[in-house]
Parts: sequence; C-alpha cells; structure tokens
Amino acid sequence: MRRLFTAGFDISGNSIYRAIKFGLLNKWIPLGNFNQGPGLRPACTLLILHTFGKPLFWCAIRFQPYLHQLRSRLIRK
Amino acid sequence: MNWQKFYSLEKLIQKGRELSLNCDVVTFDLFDTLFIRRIHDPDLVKLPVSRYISARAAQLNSNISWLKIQKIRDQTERNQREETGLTYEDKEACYPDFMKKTLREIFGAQYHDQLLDDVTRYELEMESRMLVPRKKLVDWLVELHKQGKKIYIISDIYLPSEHLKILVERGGFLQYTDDLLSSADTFLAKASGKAFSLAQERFRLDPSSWLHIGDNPFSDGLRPAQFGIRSLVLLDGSEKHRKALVRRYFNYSRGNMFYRGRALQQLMQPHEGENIPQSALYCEGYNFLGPLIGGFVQHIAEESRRLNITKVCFLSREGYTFKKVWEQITPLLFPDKHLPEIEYLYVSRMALAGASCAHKGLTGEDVSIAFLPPGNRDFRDIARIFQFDLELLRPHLERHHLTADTCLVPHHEGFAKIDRLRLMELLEDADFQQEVKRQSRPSARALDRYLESLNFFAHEQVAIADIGWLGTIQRFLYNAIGHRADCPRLHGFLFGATRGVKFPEDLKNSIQGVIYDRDRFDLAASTILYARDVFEEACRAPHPTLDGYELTDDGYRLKFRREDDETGRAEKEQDAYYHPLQRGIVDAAERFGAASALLGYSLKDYRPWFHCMMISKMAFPRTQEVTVIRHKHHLDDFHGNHVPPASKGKEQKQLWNDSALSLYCFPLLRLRYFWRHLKDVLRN
Repeated sequence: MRRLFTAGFDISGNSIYRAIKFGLLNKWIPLGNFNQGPGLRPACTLLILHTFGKPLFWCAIRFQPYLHQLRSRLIRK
Repeated sequence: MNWQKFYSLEKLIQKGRELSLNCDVVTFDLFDTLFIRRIHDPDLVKLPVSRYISARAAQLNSNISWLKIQKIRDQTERNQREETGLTYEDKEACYPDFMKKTLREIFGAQYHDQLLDDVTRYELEMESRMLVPRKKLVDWLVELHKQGKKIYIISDIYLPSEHLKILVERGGFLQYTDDLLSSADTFLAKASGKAFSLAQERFRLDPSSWLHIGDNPFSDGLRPAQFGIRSLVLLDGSEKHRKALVRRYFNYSRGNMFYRGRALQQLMQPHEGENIPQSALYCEGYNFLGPLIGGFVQHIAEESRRLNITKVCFLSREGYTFKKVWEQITPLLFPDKHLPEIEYLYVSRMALAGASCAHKGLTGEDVSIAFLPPGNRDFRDIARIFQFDLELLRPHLERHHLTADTCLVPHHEGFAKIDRLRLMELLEDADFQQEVKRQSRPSARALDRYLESLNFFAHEQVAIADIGWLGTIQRFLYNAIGHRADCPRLHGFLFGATRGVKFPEDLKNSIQGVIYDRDRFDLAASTILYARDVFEEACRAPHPTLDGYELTDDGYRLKFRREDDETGRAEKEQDAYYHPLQRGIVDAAERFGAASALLGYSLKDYRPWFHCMMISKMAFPRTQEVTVIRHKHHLDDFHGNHVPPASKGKEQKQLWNDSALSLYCFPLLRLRYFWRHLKDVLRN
C-alpha cells in the first residue's frame, strides 16, 4: 500500500527523477520523441524543489518578511 | 496581541480547541483555509469558462476567441471593482453582475438568462473540481458544530454566498455550517474589517466569545483583532511548497511540451483526505494507465467533433473502460454538449467472424487472420473460429484433397506447401463459398437485427473505439454490414494499431492507431508491444466474451461464453485481481477531465510526456512493477490448442514474461530487450 502523491509532492511510481533519468538517457540512446526533453534548468529546479522543498519552504514561510527585504535590497543593488 | 500566527495546522487546531472552550462562535475563512486549491492561481479556472463561452458563441455563428472573451471578462470585472470602490471601502465584485455584462457584450441581442445559468453552472463545476476540503480543519469544524458552537464562513470573493453554498455542499460540510457571508453580496469585505461588523449585526455576535480562523495575516489576523476578535492565522509552508511546484510545472508546460503531460498529472493528484494509501495496482491504474486512456478518449471526442461523427461505439470488452472514462471526462472537456451519442457494442472476433462470411464468403485474408495465432494449424481451427459446421463442409474439402486435420501452417509439423495451394483453390470454389454463406447467414441476420435495435444504421458517421491491434473486429463488422446501402462510414480508433494483416481501408472504412500506430514511426509508443495483454486485461469488462449472435423468432439473442469452466473461472479470478487497476483508471478519469479542461491541451501536447512514461514503465520497468501488473491468465478463444514444435515455432522471450529473479539480478537485461525491440521496429 502506498500513497499516489508522495510527501515531496511527486507522483508515486513515476517520479520526476525517473523522467529526468530517461530524458538524459535519450541523449545517448534513441528512446523516442520526448520533444525538447526535461531541459537542464527546469530539471534542476524541479529536482531541488521535490527533494529539498520541505526544509526550504519551512524556512521561507517563517522568514518571509526578511527574505523579501533581502531580495529587494539585492535587486536595488 | 489578539491574533496568532501558526506554521502548522496541528498546532493551530490545538490552540483553537483551547480557545474555543471560551467561545460560542467560530468563523472560518473559506479559500486556502477550509478548502485548498489544486492549482496555484485561482484565476486559471476562468480559462476553461472562456473557452466554453467561445464554443457557445461559435454555436450561434459568432466567432470570438476565448482569449478575447477572457479580456472582456477581466475588463468588466475591473470596471465593477472600480465602481464599487467609489461607494464602499472594498473594491469588490459580484460574479452574476459582471458575468451578465460580459455575456451581454459578447452575445448582444442573442443573450438570454439561460446562457448565464449555463456559464455559472460550468464555472462552479470547474471551481469545485479544483477545490479539496482540508481534512483536519473540516474534522475540527464538525467537532465544534457537535459541541454546539455557531459556525460561520466569511469569504472575500466575487462569488455570492449562494454559489459558495454549492461549493461547500460539494465539499461535504454545509450541514455543519450555520451560515455563509460573501463580500460579493454586500461589498463589505474582511480586508476593510467591515465584514466582521456585518456578521456581528446580522448574527448578533459578541466579539469577546468569537474565534476566527484564516490564512491571511491582514484580513484574517489584524482586522478581526482590531475588532476585538481572537484570531488564528495559518501560514502553511507545505501548501506553499506544493503550489510552487504546480506553478513551475504549469509555467514550464507553456514553453516546453515535455512538461504538458506532467503538469496534467500534477493537477490530477489527490490531496488531503483523497490521498489515502492504495494498492500498487491502483497506483499503476491511476498514475500510468489512467492518463494514457484519458488522452486516447479525449482524442476520440475531439476527432468526433471535427469529423461530425454522431455515434461512438465502444467495442466489448475493453470498450467498457473507455466508455466509463468518456462519461467522466467529456462533460468537463466539452461543456457545450456538442458530442456524439455513445454505445457499448457487444462484439468479439469470434462472434463477428461467422457473420462476416455471409456476403463475401471466406476470403484469403480471413484465413491469414485465423492462422496468425501459433496455436491454429488446420481447417478444424478455421471452422471453430468462423463457426462452420465441419460435417457439411467435408465433401468440399475432400474434393480438394484436404481433410479437417491437414496441416496448413508452416510452423507446425506435417506442413506441405501443396496443401496451402489446395486451400487457396478451395477458397475459389463457388460451391464451397455457397455453403459457407448459407451457414453464416443466420448469424449475419441476427447481427443486423442487433445493430438495428441500437439505431446503428440511422447514423452516417460512426466511430468505432477499441483497444487494438489489427482492427479485426472492425474488419469483420464491415464485411458483415458493408453491403447495406445504409451502412455508415466507420472511423476506427484503436488504442494501438499493430496492423499485422493489411487493413482493407476504403471510403467507408478506416482505422487509426491513436497511442501507437505501426504506420507512424514512434519508438516510445511502440513499447506497448512489450505487454499488449496487460492493456487488454486492464480495460476488460467483467462479463464473459460474446460467442455469437443467434437468430430468434422475435429478433436476436446475444450468446455469451460460459463462465463455469476452467477458463471462465480463470478469467473471473483475473478480473478480481485487476479490479483495483480498473478502479484507478476510472478515478483518474474524473480528475483528468478537469485538469485537461483547465490546461486546454490535447493528446498531441501530452505525447512527449506519455512517451517518457511508456519507456520507463514498459521498456525499463522496475521488477516490482512487472510482477504486479503482468497478467496471470489471458483468455483468447481465437487461439487453438496446437503447440508448434520447439524447433519451428519458438516464440521470442519477452521482458514482461521473464522471471522476477532475472529482472532483479540483471539490470542490463532491459537494455538488451530494448535493443532487440529497436531492431524489430526499424525492420518493420
């Protein structure tokens, strides 16, 4: 028994990690038409969000005002 | 401070329980508090509604794009908010008002109130499909209600309270709520704090015994606190995490087609109380087969609209699941109801084989199809498949020096080329064909009567939906009814078309493989050939196969295969085993419709993701996936009982038939099988 949606909000049995793995494999072995494939930037972002999203958002929600201030200061610079 | 922030729902409820002991009234915010949204941006629900309005306009011969409709709606809503801002502190809008103005602007003199009702109904349907009750909070609400507390819901939204009641009712907690207040009714919102004074006046509440729960630190925290109400605000990091992912999948899908199918699946996922532990088979049905079948059925519906098809026949027995999926997804995908009628047609290769010979006789192609399964070898097998009386055909066979047991297939022992030539001569024998037609006529007549009872011949364009693979059922069906002047044009849609024997396409009969078609080079989709039986078993109806059509005095009778023999029992056992898988497919369809309508994509958009999914599940599956999904029994009455000698008819070993041990111990095995598959696909 398992849940359809994992704790990291990924699809059980069809995770983004698996999709990226085959996206990469498709660069070396012809697997089929994946259109553009996962793409490096989206793949990295999604992997990080699925894997480390929980602690990241744990911090983000608590320190939101400070993070906003920091962001606007960085943008101004 | 009269308000507190909480980063965990459990802690908020714990504190709420404590405070509620001294409270008589508890008010809740609705959106993002009692309900969570599947999507990151609530405005996205407006897009399918605009598409619906555009479709309704097209029905009235007014061509206006959905993007323009969306622009008009946004502008009308903005204008109303500006107008409200002149009189009230809050710039609120009311859905029925601005939607009526929007529709009047689009439809002009053709506008009628029924149109507004239809649009509102669809918007609420889409909205409710995108909302999920937050289980723990709703459970606490029920608990408070049982303690005798007054429960009110206060929301700042453009939907009036009547509409909110519909959403809450669908969420299953309207009976525990005393009343609802929406800013759309009075233009007094929580953002200015006026909604709280309105609630106090209307329900005669005492702020000192009032607890408010919400998610916005300003409207649900600061404002009620200023009014003397204790309030608890939930800042949910987990929800923020989930929505960040949905937003990214949605945004990536706009620029990169690969993510369209993934965005669809992300929106289809269950949340809160829906996300309960399920069996591995259910998960495979929901996460793998569900989206594939949803895409297949959506394609049939789109093609039916394009080709003006007025009837879709789902062929037994796999059509049982396709029809269920159709019933779930089409009301949301095509709310304008411009859809063909649907029918579940009781057919089978065995039942139609006999009927197909009534007009054309037994053809060379029929014989080729009959000898495709390795278990068939002689004329006895042909007679079994086409339901001929062998005794009456024996003189004709003897005339051509053949017997019922003469081997006619090269991969069986005792084959001689001369016998195959004799068989061809037999097929050209007019007396033989006369007898074949005579024997097939009652079955063909019964089929005619069956189809007439379904009004089949009243349609000019009919779609035939089946799992695959050669299109034999459609071929036999067309052979049986093609002679009739009122025979409709048959558009065949197969889940996968392997086209082992050339399909006789003409102006009134065609097939196309939707997910896989051998005539269209598609390496990833071709991996369904790894385990075709799995797709058949997954979609099969829980009733026995049809053996034939029998003519009766008052019409016809459908003759089903017996269920009490060994094969029938094995099939029942198999049906029971695959039941969770089918349940997963049907449950997925319900969410597929809403998600696909919201995204506005079609099968061609989902293909790259489906390809990746098929490669990973079919060609490179995990050992556990193979052991769980693969079938145990696969009944096929078409197959005879003859076993070809090992030297001649050795079947190629398949990945999905390999032992769990070798799948587990040799990971490169999958690569070897894939290499062989790649060569086969290129060769074909």
